Amino acid sequence: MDINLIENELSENTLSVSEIRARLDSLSSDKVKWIKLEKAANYLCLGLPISGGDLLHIVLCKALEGKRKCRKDLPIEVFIYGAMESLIDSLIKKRRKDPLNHTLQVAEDNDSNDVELLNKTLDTPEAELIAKQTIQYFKELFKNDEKLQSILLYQMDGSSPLDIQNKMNLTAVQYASALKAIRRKYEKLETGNHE
Amino acid sequence: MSDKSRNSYEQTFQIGRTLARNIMESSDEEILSDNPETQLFSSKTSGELIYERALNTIKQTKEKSVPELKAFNLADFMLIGINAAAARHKLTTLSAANDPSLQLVASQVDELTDTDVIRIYKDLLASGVFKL
Repeated sequence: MDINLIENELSENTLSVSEIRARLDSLSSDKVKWIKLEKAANYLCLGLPISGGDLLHIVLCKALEGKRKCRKDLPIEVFIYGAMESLIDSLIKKRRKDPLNHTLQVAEDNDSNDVELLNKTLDTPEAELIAKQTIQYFKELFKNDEKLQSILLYQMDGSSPLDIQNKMNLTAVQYASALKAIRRKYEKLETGNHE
Repeated sequence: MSDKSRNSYEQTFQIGRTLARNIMESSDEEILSDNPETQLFSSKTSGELIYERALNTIKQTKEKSVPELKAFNLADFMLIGINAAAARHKLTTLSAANDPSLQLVASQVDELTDTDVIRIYKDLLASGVFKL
């Protein structure tokens, strides 16, 4: 296919910068969507020396500069979330020591500049310590609940949700319910609202 | 199962991503029930404030990137499309002027190079001797 045709098709199916701006503006009447994005950003930065707020800011700037393409059929909050996840994912992959992984999982061009910027913040012993302490914190938090702790350990090992459900003999609903329990317990402790 | 097969960052990311997706997949009602204060307060959420900060950042970046405009020069503008021959012809009309120095230019215009003709013509445009 001709490259111009591909570009035309891409521009027909993606939002312009002004359309992205309009959709983000319209989110001001929907505070719940912003709360979802804030919380999701904080989770994506779990154990990393980067704040969720900074991650959200970087991604919003990229979107407003037109450096991120958003499909027209995609809700704007899903687009922003996807961009945040992609950026952190690229950052984590780039840090893998295994040279084979470096070859296979190159950071996307969209993310490469930001990854370079964020990568510097991870190159300290303090940052590594924070990540280790976060893992320990989660293990301690759920040490009395075997099911939730097993889910967490499988997640740390990189198992997919379907794998975890199969290994633990859980239905999709039971798995989702367990995740909510993990999230709520963590959030309650983080906000100091102990039961 | 070994949690040492992945580094600490990957492990925290696996947990964080799962919980983040869980948040995004939750219904608005669930989020509201977890955050009842959301329905009550009318002030902006921190997400909205971050969005406003992003808008300001973009605005400032655009302002910085606007190239400095060169000052408009009427003489340069009037010079567009004028070649040496046309300028030379214009200078010859100065012989009727009362100013002796301009009459001198007009009388010697054939001895001037094309570059000098254009330069003098431009100076005279800038000084207002020639009108639009």
